[in-house]
Amino acid sequence: MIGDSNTDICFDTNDFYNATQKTLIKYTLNGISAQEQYEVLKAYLTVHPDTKSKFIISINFSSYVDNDYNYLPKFYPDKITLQELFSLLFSITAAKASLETILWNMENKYLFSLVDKIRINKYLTNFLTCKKLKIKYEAREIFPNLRIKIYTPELNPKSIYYLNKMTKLLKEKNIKCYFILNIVHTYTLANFYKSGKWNLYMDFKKQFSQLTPFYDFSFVNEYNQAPITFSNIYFQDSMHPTNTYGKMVLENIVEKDYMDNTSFGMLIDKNNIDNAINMQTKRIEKFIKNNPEIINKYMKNEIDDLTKKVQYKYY
Amino acid sequence: MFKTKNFIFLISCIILTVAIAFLNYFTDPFGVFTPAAGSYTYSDREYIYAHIKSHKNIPPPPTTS
Repeated sequence: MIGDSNTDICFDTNDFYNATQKTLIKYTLNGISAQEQYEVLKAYLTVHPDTKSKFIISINFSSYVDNDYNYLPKFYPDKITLQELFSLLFSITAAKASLETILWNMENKYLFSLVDKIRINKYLTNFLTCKKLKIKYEAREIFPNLRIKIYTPELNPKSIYYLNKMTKLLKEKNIKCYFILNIVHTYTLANFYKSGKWNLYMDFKKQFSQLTPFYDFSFVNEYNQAPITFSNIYFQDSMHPTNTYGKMVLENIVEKDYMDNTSFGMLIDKNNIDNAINMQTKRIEKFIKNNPEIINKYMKNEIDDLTKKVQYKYY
Repeated sequence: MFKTKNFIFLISCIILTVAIAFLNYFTDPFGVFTPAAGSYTYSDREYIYAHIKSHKNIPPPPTTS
């Protein structure tokens, strides 16, 4: 699975294994760009040319419009380089990640069940992860529109170019791939609409559907309208669904290989894209018309300013 | 006295470095040394290629109850 933070949070490897008895490997990078997605896919197919794996590629509209970079290091296909080995063993990033992994494992009881008896892990974990909890809290309660402002007025041609390259590469190798458009909350969709980006979003879907069929869960449905609070089991903020939502998605697309629950997602291709656009536009217009208080609360300009501050502080 | 202090400092640095290397090797947060064996792996731009290259034989993840 290749995607960004949305994919990382939404799809859980253990849920996937328990449901399908298959291993899900996630190559997810925060704010991944189209070019980076292509490079990761190409690298995987270079190292594993005879792979029989199925791929899931998750596409983030906001990233595809805004992010135009490739921060990946140079790829050496043969073996792990000395530089990679050195940074894996001695870098601060690796040491920090190691500590976080240990704490996460302790918290989720995969390791050291004995530690439960000592009763220190909970306090230690809470103390060391309080910063993360704070971010989560703010994202849920104060900034449901976190990271959804799009500055570019038109689609980034480079993104479509690399998306095209990915589909061609997968076709060449005869590899089964599920493309998914990142799942977002209705508040995000409403923000696209109110800020005049809806046509751009629909245009992106149209161009995407010309290249390859894709699964679309990003429209107003029965699961993504509820307010984003701690009791919402489907969304942790307006851009990130929880793994409960991810489980429903995987059950539909990977296990059944088709969408039978069209109330929350649909397979879009070049034949049904126009109907889908009409349906989705009608639904968002209806939502905005019926929920003026939500629109007024979350679409204020101050939210954008605050969002900028939070982004600056934490990302 | 000065030399002893330097010597202790040097030995401490070496021990700390070796300890960090052990920690990173056995915890393996990027899933490079023991691919997918951990229940939680990070993805990081710096290590993603090492991660891909190490995934030759992937054991199943631990099941959860």
